[in-house]
Amino acid sequence: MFSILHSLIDPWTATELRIYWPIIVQGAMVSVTLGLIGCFLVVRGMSLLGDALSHAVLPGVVIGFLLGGSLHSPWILIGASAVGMVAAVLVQAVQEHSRVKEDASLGIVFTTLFAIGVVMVNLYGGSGDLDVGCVLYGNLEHFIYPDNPLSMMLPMIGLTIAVVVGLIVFFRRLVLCTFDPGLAVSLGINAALVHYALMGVLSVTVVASFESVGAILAVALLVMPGATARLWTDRMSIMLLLAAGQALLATVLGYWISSPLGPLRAFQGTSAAGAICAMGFAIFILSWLLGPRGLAQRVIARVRLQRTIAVENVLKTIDELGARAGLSGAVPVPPETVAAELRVSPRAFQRALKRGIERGWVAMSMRNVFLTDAGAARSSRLRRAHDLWEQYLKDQVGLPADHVHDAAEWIEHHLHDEDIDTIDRTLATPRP
Amino acid sequence: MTILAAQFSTDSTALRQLATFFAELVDNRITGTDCVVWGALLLGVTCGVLGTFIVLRRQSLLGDAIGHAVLPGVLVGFWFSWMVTGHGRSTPAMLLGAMVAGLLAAALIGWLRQTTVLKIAECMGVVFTGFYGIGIVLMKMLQTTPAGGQAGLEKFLFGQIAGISLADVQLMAIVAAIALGCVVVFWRKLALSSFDEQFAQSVGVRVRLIEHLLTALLTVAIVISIQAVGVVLVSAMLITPAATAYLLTDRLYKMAILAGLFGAVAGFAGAILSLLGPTLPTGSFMVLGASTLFAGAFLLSPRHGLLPRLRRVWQQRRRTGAENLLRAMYLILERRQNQADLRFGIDDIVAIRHESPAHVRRMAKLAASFGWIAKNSPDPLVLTESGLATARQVVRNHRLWELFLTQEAKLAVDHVHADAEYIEHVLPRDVLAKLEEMLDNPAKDPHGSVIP
Repeated sequence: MFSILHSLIDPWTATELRIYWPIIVQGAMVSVTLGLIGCFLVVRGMSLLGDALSHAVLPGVVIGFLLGGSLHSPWILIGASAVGMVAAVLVQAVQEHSRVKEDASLGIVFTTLFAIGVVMVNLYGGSGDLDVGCVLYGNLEHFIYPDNPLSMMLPMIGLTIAVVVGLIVFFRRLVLCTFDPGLAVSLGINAALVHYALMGVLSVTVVASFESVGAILAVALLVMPGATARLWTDRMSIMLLLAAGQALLATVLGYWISSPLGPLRAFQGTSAAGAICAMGFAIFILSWLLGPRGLAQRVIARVRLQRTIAVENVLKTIDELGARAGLSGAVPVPPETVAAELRVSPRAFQRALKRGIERGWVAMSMRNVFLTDAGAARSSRLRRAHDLWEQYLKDQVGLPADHVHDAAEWIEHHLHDEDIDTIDRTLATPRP
Repeated sequence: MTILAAQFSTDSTALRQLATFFAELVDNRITGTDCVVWGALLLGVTCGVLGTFIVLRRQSLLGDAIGHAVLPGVLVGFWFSWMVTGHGRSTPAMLLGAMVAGLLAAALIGWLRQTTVLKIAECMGVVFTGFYGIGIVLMKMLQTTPAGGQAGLEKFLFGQIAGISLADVQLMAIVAAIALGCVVVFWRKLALSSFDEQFAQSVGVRVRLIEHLLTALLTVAIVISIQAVGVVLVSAMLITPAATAYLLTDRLYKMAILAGLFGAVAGFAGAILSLLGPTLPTGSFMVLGASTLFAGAFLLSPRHGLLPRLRRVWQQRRRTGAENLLRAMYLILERRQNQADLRFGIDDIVAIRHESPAHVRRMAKLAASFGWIAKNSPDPLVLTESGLATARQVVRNHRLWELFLTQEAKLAVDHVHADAEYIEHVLPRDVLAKLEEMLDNPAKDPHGSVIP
């Protein structure tokens, strides 16, 4: 056991970190920066714009590469920005001057530009740094080979600082423009300018992260932190913090998975960028399952409700059987009669009966079941809810008398005490 | 392939061609490049026809999402078949894996959409990039194993049709037949729910079920296309041919047929072009073929194309200019004693229109080309019979409209001129007839001028 643990932790020893730290640092900067910007796309429902943009700039990246000779030249940024602009204009033009809608126009333009880019990579790339693999999943591993990796990271360091500082300084304005552009404009903020600034920063960041994670995984880093954070909170400031945290966690976990010394060492590791995205996805899915309003909570709540309903139906039936026998109070009845009346499977009945006893609503004596005081109170409350709802549907809604039973049968389990009292008062008040 | 192309150019019907193809397909007699061509045609048709529905439903990017999401499924299928048979490239296994992954992704997207606050774009974005990330991880892992060494897994990213085999084409044909068969069988339900979901529901179509069917068919289409187009660009084969067809027709069945046709043409062209080099990405060439067709339709489509529309606008503008000149002449004529004198000096018109003499001369040339003004009389301009009739009509349109606006729409008298100035050139004949009837053939306009 200890040796397994030790072997898992092994790559994290100081020696390895001394070699591999550039991957973690660069990966963290890329994912945090993209994740922060992505939050604004996520709350606006514009995630796929990031997708389109990151694909469409490819020809620009190739042209920049051919002009500058390396993946670090400023020409890349210039080329990519130019092509990004062309893409935006084309999408707008197709949408405005034909009957093709936004989604299709986006799809057509970005696939066309991306296809052109792929052909260019095939024709002119090949031998150098630029190959198809780099386009698709980037290469974080590049950063561990040079003597001075810091110099390679400089652009991303600058960009990360700029984005974080920009977010802090313009936070209120950004939030206002995101959620209520109308109010923002009336307060004298140039909402259009803010929008284009955000898009500009987005494209610069996407291009800058191309080398590390590639075109498609950049989209993952853009969407996942924001989407995950959105599941946990409704507040933008907390969402940004959570998104940054998610990005960091995904980076560290992803690096650990992908490391040549990590759990996949039999395969000599795997793509760090891909693993970071996969981990981000895993965190998202976990948040979806376990988070507030998550799937687990929903399922638990539903199961609880169903159990309560089953027990309450048992209570009602016992009560009814007693009343039918013409006796008031706790009348013992044989459980078989109750089960037959309820028309549920014997197993389900046994389970519901057991829960009723556990909750102190039902008691057994001499192989018969009867209601305790608490059970009787519960049952009479149900009957009151049922009767009042039937009354309400007949009097206020105007449904015929033979149409109201099923609705009441369902709702009696869902009404709270206040609801019942309110209906009672409404019915007691003469209609105007 | 050359034989095939020659047959296409000389032989009589495409139908007989198709029959021959299926006969040969069943007899295992198709080889080499013929496989490539037929594979490209099959996938083009299938994607085009199915794409019709997602373009109409404005769900174009669903194709993109499923396209990316099938990657891990392909790789798992690849790995599995390698474990079992010892050689990796078993198409059915990979297609099955892709199918499972695609459907899983689609289900997850739908589920997230129902149970979270996230919007549809975010649900798609998270799911497809997540699947894709897992796919990349698997791909890198497989490349270091003997399994990955023997076949270029990266072909699945951008497509490489050269290595396609007869068995692949047979499988594609079966799958395409199932997909297209479903479209034919469920045609009415698909059409109804694509155009108007609520109405479809109200007449008893099970909309959710149809949606699931469409998603499943899309996945199928994507799955048979990935070998040739690759997972990254397969969405274009769904969207672009369908959008092209959408620009050319308003009828759904025509759109589906055209989309299938364009898909086939794009697939064929892409396959042929990519065969020119040993490692050229087939998918990119197919996409560029489809994009070229789209650009053509976008510019030239008779009804929805940009250039024909611009031309119509330009013609209308010319006509409007010439008609304005005629109206000015008519206003001058109204004030004359001698109604038979149809000569008008440029200066008089300039005084009314407040435009430069050069502009008036240009308009006069246009009016002459319509036959409204006699040629060879630069100044004064001489109105012809048809010119006089047109002038009368324009003035009549203008004054009737002013009257309508003041009497029926209750606008103030001084607010109606600008509107009439515009409508006089475009008032359709039936609307005019209705106006005359409604206003009971009046004699005078709200300013007191006679309506001609």
